[in-house]
Formats: sequence, structure tokens, C-alpha cells
Amino acid sequence: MLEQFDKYIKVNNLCSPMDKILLGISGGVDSMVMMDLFLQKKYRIGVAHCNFQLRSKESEDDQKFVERVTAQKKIHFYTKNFETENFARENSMSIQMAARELRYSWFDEIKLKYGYQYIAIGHNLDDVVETFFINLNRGTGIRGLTGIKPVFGDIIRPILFASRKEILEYAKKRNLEFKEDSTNIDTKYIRNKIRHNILPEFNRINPDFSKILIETIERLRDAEIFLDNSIEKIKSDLIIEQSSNRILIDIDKLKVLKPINTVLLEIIKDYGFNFKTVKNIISSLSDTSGKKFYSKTHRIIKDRSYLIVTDIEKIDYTAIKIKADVAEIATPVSLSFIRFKRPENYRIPEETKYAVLDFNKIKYPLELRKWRQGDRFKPLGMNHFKKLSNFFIDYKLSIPDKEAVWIITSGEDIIWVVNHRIDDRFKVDNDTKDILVIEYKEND
Amino acid sequence: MRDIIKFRLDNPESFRQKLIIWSNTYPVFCYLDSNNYYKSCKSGLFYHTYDTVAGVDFTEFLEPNQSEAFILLKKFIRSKADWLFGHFGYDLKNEIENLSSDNFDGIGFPVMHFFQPRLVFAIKDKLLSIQYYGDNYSKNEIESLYNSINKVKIKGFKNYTDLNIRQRITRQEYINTVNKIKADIFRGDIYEINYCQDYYCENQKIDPLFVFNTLKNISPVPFSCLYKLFDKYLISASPERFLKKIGTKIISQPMKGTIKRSDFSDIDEHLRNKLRYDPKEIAENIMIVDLVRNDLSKSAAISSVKVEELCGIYTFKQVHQMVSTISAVLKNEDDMIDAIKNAFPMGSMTGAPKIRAMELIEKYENIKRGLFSGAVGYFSPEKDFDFNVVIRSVLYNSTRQYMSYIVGSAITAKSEPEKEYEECLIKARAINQVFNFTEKEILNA
Repeated sequence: MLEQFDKYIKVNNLCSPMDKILLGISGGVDSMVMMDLFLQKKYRIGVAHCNFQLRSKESEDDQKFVERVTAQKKIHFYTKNFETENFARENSMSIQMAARELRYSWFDEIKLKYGYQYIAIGHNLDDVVETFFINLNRGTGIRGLTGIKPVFGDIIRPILFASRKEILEYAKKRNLEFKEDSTNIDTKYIRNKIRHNILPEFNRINPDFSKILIETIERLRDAEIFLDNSIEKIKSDLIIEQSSNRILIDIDKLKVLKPINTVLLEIIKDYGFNFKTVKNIISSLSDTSGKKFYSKTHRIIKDRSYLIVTDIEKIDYTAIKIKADVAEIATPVSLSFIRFKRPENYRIPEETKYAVLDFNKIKYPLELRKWRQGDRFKPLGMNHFKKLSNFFIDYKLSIPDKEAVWIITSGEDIIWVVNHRIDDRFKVDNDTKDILVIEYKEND
Repeated sequence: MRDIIKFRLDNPESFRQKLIIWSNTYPVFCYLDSNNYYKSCKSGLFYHTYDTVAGVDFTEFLEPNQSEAFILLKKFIRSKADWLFGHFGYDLKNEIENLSSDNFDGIGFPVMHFFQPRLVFAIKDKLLSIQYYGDNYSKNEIESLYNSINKVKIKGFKNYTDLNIRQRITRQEYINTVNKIKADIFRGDIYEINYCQDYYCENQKIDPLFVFNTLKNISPVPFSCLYKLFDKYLISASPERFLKKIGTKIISQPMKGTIKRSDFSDIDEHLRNKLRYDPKEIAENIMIVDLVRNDLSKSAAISSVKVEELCGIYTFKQVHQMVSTISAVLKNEDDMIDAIKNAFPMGSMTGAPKIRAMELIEKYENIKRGLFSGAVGYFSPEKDFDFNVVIRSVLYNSTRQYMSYIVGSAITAKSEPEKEYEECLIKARAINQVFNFTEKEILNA
């Protein structure tokens, strides 16, 4: 086992004896065996244990157990209690997803703070096989079938070569203490079904089944590398722009690519879009523009030549009061306020970033807020009121840009649609004596 | 000298439609339409003379063979001193340089054709002028002719949607050829070449009027044209000017550099700027500008070649384009045909250096370009002229019931064959979609 462990690390280039490695230890047999192997090989390690507080007493026992063992062996020990259920509810994700998210972000934190190079997780061969079947049942692409990998970023899985049986035998031989594995709640049922009902059937047909499946997965992994490489190339051609707030994907170029579903999925999966949405997007490609598609974090708008991917902005409707003596504000938008007597032959600057207003027509305090449906104003130069939403249509603003629009009001009245148009009622006219200039400064 | 009668048009757009349908009853006509582009695009250099100008029916025409075509054209122009409409085919290169064209030609446009029209229609804003010869028509006859055009019913376009459009070469053949071209580039024979392939269909009818109207609606470009030469048609949505002459000045406006538009004005504006500052597009445009400067300088008065606008951004219905404007004053006004000859075929459609690029085009392409990447336009009685670049065009021979369109892309050392192939597919799809509209959709557009 020890030799295999050593070899597996070397072959897969997981880490070197010089590295400091943080072990995610639950207290179960997999993780305790992994710790033992690392200790025997004299790696510099630390141990991190998460208490997700999902099984109150048991969870606490596990925590104490890992603490005791690491203390005996004089290993750095880190632990944290998580409000997993609350976190899951607040972020509307499954408990399993929440635990995963919490665990990895905390591991990352420790890794950075204490200078570890890698995070080691004790997944085994049976996990790979079971995950393959779970994903197969759920419906997946190549990525779901190659799911658990020896290396993924800074996460390493050094005992992925060993079956559950081998691990248990080793623990017995080495007389290792361990706790019963905490069950994976989301997949407990299906995992057991696969473990007890399905895999034995396969093994009956072919006693080498697990080995063959692992080989198959390895070949799929190779194919996946090819996929990754070509996707990178395709991406650079399809994405005509990628900035912090938007990505433009060329529809014409996308349309001629094969297989279009996979290509698009690979491009937008990082923004939380799934295969089903991808298929919906594809079938809308020839429709008129304006159609929207959502993931939890992003939105895609179908334009005539592009798919526009943007962050979903949480729109803040809370208004900020601005008093008469304020000269400058920096958040949420950068504005400066200048007041002066009207000079002779005063020429009004034309740039939209300036609002030049008749000071005496304005009542303080002003309010700065995001626009809402139903807002209306009298655009400069017009005799009638216009709904802001219609004003935006005239200006053909994109949805993200529309959402980014701020307005300034005086009492009930809009005086300025920031960086677009002032209200006609507050403009400088022949009788104006004092001028207020508000300048909008674009944030870099 | 022609007589002129002017009419005020209530609805110029509908008159144009009727004029096309009416013209199509004649064996020969050439209808050139700027689609009011200079009005819709607020800035830029347009050198705009007419909104629409058309020559209908012929009294005489010139259709010279390959040799001495330009000399014969010079004589023809001198003897007529009148309006002439027609074209320069790409294969005139064989007269200009020591080249040949032996590839397949399914359409069969003559290498050059110019006709003296019986009637000329010129529209600017709401004013139509009909120019004719008093020997042929009386004033009353022209008036009744105008009335009969107005009575033409705009309908009856026929769309043939189940066309079996085929590609002459396979993807693999295309990719192999591009790799060979790249080898030529790396060997130093050329540094850029415009390599094209064709799409065609045989034994199938199309309605040229339907196709033209559809193209015009999808893509209202400043140099669109519908040109009929007996049984042959050119249906073109060309956005590009080859060469124009006003007085002693000649103007060329090569187009290189494109970005697709967005429906959202903020993003659209952003894309305009992206194109404006794209170093690759600028470099390619300037390469062609240099070539055109060289071409014009051969016929220009000393130090008169000017780049009036370098890499201007022009917005069309579908795309933003980068266009440069180069002008020169002719050394000798009588040399205007030489000015055309010296610049033909336009560098944007060959590559550089020109002669070697044209040799390789002949070697690698599977079809004779014919009218494609040639030029269509007119000479006026004042000896002014205006010619477009024949691209984004459908060619049709109604006797053979053979339709073809050619698409290509510029191959450079950095080209990836697969991507160039996709680029061609995209361009072909843009034309393909023309055949999928219904008559109703077009009339309502």
C-alpha cells in the first residue's frame, strides 16, 4: 500500500516531499489511512477538520477524535464549526453543495494563511466508480464521467488508486483508529443502490469490471484533455470580447460549429449555465433578439449577432440623500456638485456627464437612486413627460446598461437621469441666476 | 445630346420598385441604387451623385474580346460622348498582365460589356429625370411611358425555396488548398491572397427580382445593383466602391475590416470603437490603401494622391466597416480609362503583390471569377464615372438555369484554414438566407 501510494503520487505528479500539504480529515477510514501514509512518508502535513454540525453529537465526537489523534502525533490541527443548514438555505443550495462550498473555501483560507501548497482529500477508487454511475444516472457529459480526478487545481487525491476493501485491510493491519464514515446525505440512497445492487451485477458478468471501468475513465480523461485544448482555441475565436462586466459570443461563428451544444456548454458552464439552458439558447439563435436566459449568477441576452453574457446585478433601490452642502460623493456612483453665479455668456457644456441645472428651481435634499418601473420625467427639449422605460427604448440601451442607470430626484421630480439627460423643468433658462453643475465621473 | 424631362415622385421607393419590374421587360438594363446610404450614415465621405441611376434598353453596345478591350472602350466612349452602362470582368486582368483564365465558367458574362442605353433614369431625392433622344421619343411618349411605369403592380415575385445549393469543393479540399497557399506565403511568393470558392445550383429557376429585393432589404448598401444582359443577371449587394471620377478627380474607397452590429446602442457604439482601434484590421486596411495609392499614382498628376480618410468607420444595417478614401487628380483627363486599367482588378480582391496573387488565384480556385470581383457602373456624358466592386452578389444564367455565388476570404501567414472555411460558410449563409424569405415578408419589410 505504501509503495503504491508513493508510486501514485509520483506518476500523477501530485506533490513532492518538499511541499507542505493540508489534509482534509473527516475521521473516516479513508482520511485516517491517507494521514497514516503521509506520516510514514514523512511529509510535512497539517490537518483540517470541518464540523458541519449536521449530526450534532456525532459531529462533535468526530471533531474531538481528530483533534485527539493529531495532538498525539503533534500535527498542526485546524477546525471550524459551520452553520451548514443556514448557509444552504440562504444561498438556496443543497446541504451537500453548501458543505462542499464551505469546506473548500475554508481549506483555501488555511492554505494561504499557513503556506500549504496542496490540499489532500481521501477519495478512493470506489468513489470514482460510484460517482461515474451516479452521474450516468443523472445525465452528464464527458466531465461528469471523469468526475473525480487525481489533481484538480491545488486539490490532490493521493489514495484514489485504492479500493475501499484495500483501505479497510490496511487500516486493520496498521491498527488505525477511525470513525464510521459520515454518510453523504444527498447521494446516500443511490450510492448504496449502486454499491450493493448494481456493481455486484457487473462484477458477476466480469470480475475485473472495476479495473476496466477505471481504465475507461482514464481514456475518457485523455479525451477530455483534447476537448479542453480545442475548446480553448474555439473560445478565443468565438468570444469577441471578454471584459469584467460582459462577454460577447459571436452567433454566426457559433452556428457553424459542431457539436454546437457541447461547444456552447463548455463556454458558458463557468457562469452556471446547464445543458438544458444551452439547448434552449441554441434553439433560439434564429429568433429575434432580446430573449433572456438565466443561471443563478449570470444572464445571457440574445442579440442579433451576439450572445451577451452579464453578471446579474443585484439592483439596489435604497435611495441616498444628498444635502445642499455636499460637494462630492464617491459611492455608489462618483458625482461632484458645483454651484456658482451664472457668468455672462455662459456656455453650457454638451457632454452627457454634466447636468447643468437652475439651482433656484431645485429643492434639497436631493435623492440618488436606481430608476424604477413607472418613473417618468420631462427629457430636456421636450414638452411632455416620458416614461423612463420608453426613454431607454429610444436610446436602445442594453438591459445591463439600463439596470446600471441612476437618477437624481428633487422632491418627487427627477432632475437628472445620470449621464443621459436632464429634466426640462430644471434647465438653465434666461432667468437663471445660480447654476448647479453635477458631474458624473466614470469609475475605472 | 439627350433631352431631359423631370418628374416629382411622391413615393420614390415605390417608383424604384416599379422601375425595376418595368426594366426587366427589356433585354438589357443596369440599375444602380445607393439605398439612401449617404443620408442614413451621418458622417463620412460619400462623393454622392445620384440616389439611383439606371440605363434601360440599348441602342448600341460594345463587347470586345480579351485583347484590346480597353482601347476599344476608349474609342467607344469618344465616339458616343453619352451615358454608357456596363462592366469590367475580373478576367480583363489577362489583358492588363500576362495571365490566363482557363477555369470553369457556368454563367458566361462577357469579359467586358458597355451599352448605350435608350433611356436613362436618374433619381435624386424626390426628383426623377428621364434622359432620352428626341429622335427616338417625343415628350408625350416619355410622359406616357412614365405613367405606364407608375401603373406597374408591385407583386408576383416568385421565390424558389427548395433550391439545391451545392459547394464545388469539399471542406477537406478547401483546407488542403489553404495550406498550400500558406506554403506559398511562407516561401515569400505573396503575403496576402483573396481565395474564393463558389456555391452553385443547376437546372433550377430563380426570380432575379425577388432575390434583388430581398438582398436590398436585408442589406441596403450604397453600391447595390441589378444588371441584366440578355439571359444573364448580376444581383448585387455591394457595399464597396471601386473607382469614381468627378471632373479631373478620381476617388477609390477600399473596404477592409468588419465587425458585426448589436441591437443595443451602447454595445453597438462600443463595437464601432473596437473596430476603429483594432490593430489587425487597421494593418490590413492600410496594406490595401498603400496598394491603391500605388495604383492611382500611375495616372495621377504629381503629388496629387491623397488619403482623404484613413480607416473611417462606416455603419451598415448589418455590420460596421472600415473604409479608407484615396483620391488623386488625373494627369490627363483623356487617360481616364488608363486610370481604371491601372487600378484593375482592385487589390482588395486579389491580394498582394497583385500579379503573383492573381497567378495563384488562377492556380488554386476552381472557377473562373467572371464578373465576380470585377466592377459594374456607368460613364456619364460629362465623362464622369462610378464603379463598384462586385462582391456579395448572385450571378444567374436564365437559359442554363444556373446560379452561382462566390465567397472568399483573405489568406495571410496567420490564417487558420478551418477558421477561413467557417468564415466562408458564414458569408454563404448570409446569401443563402435570401432564398428562404417569402414574398410577403419582403414586401412588408
